[in-house]
Amino acid sequence: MTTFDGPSGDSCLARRDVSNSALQALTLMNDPMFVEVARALGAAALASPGDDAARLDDLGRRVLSRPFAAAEREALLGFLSTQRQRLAAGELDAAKLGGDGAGDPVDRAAWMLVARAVMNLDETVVKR
Amino acid sequence: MNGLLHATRRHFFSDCGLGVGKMALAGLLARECAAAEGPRAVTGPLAPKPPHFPAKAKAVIQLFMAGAPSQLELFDHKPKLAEIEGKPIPPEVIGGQRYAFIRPDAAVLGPQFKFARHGQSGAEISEMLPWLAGVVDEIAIVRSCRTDQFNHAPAQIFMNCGFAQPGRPSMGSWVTYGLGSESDELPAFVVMSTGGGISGGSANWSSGFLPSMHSGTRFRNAGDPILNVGQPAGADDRLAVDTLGVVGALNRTRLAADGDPEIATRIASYEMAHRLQTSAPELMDLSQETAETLALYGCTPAEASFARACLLARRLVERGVRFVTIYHEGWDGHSDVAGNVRGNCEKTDRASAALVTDLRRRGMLDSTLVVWGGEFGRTPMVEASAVLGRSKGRDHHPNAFTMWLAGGGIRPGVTHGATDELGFHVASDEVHVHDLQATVLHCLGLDHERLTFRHAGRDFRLTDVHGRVVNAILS
Repeated sequence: MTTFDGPSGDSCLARRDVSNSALQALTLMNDPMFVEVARALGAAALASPGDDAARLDDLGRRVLSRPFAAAEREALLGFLSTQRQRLAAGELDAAKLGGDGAGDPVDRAAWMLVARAVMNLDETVVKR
Repeated sequence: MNGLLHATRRHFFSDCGLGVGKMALAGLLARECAAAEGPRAVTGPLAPKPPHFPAKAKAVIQLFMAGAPSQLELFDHKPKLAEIEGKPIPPEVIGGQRYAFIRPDAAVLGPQFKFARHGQSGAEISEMLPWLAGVVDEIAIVRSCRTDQFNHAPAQIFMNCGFAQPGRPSMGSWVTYGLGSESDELPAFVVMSTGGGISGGSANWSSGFLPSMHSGTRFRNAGDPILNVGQPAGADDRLAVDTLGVVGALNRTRLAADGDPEIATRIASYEMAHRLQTSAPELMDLSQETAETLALYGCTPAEASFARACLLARRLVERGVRFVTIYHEGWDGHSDVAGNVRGNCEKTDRASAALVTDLRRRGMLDSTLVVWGGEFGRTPMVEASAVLGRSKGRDHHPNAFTMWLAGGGIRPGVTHGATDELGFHVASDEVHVHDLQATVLHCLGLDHERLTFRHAGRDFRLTDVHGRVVNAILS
């Protein structure tokens, strides 16, 4: 919790100092817990009806309470398509990234990576 | 001015849209390709800035002896205390001073260790600092430090931020705000901690009201200094670049719409995180150090220790890090001050002296300022309490304590200032905490009266409306 400016268990704070560090970025990107959360979130998006664009908007609503704007959607779908190709080609390990679950491992891993990206947006992390 | 900058940036990003993200991605990919070519110049808000006047020091290593070491056992020899041991200090000396635990009429406790003069400078220090005695001609000892605070957390925050309540920027933050960063690979302001927890907590390295990119980055002392540097299993570096590209693109869109500079900090943090994935393992690879260097510090690479932190500090400064603070917590000798000093000196003396020697040998001492000291001193009177199980300790003493400085801009081999014969008050050449802060900034080429930030309607400084540069200890 110190990475996110939390006090240690033996004291309390009226207000936390706010930092915004590379350590937080590393935690949100790579910590096993956040990776698992990204898998679950990706699986939920993948399970929602419609095409990739509709699934992406489902993800946006879950995380940001809004659908994505056109340019954002274009960027994220581009990312999805690139990673899907790289997973299918074996450049990335779909089984390891996607974890256990039903359905196509490439799809699962690709959506996990999209969910992970969305979870790391400033808008997701910070309430303004 | 700030408003104008934001508006300009907003127009820039809204006009360019995702193109900027692609530009950033191209930049990252180009960096990957150029990685073999050595250090890159830092750009953006942390780009190096010229100092106010030519600087002696480029970097600072602050050895923060948290808990407050006893100056009377280490640097400030007071034979008079042995003479009158067991008697109270005259009330007229004590004045209205209040203490955390003891009563002002507590009896005097004599020095617990022998003192001797060392080096050509003849500086008088205690037998508990045999390694420091070897480099005493390279340091400036200030025996006349004074603070306003007599409890740990506020005094630590005061030493770092010039103000006793949390919420203002720390010295390391002011310095990176003033001078920017020389390292594109590592954070500009790094904090490490050995010993116990730090009473003042993260307020000690907070950026306060400065943009949060200036806050200290905490490295762990045990195990990996930075967690989660490795990507999830199954990933590769291209994935890291792609992910950073899409996250950065969307964050830039948000920055353009929102204008909050903290979004720019977040973008920079993610880019730094990516670079740490390669720079952190390299930094930590102490197998690059010779056995002789490890022995100099008394460092066993696999063990968390103050010595390891000192060696890492040198490696950080070598790689362009601007400000490193190592907290060694554990000097709070309320009971058995002799045992406390002995134990902490065993952990810190050798490595502190080694740091000075090592920096000198590498030609880095002239450009690196080393500052050693705690948040206050300890009382000439004994602390003893049957209820608390304490005997032969010393309480907190804000009126007089000792620090030492070495390297960039500091005159070597001087002892500055003196206390009265009881070590109770400063007798000559008082150096208040704000004066120390002004002096540190001066060594870095910064005028503490000109290093300001407008917040809540007025310009703020590290030294508030105080502080005089201590010219007597400058080279």
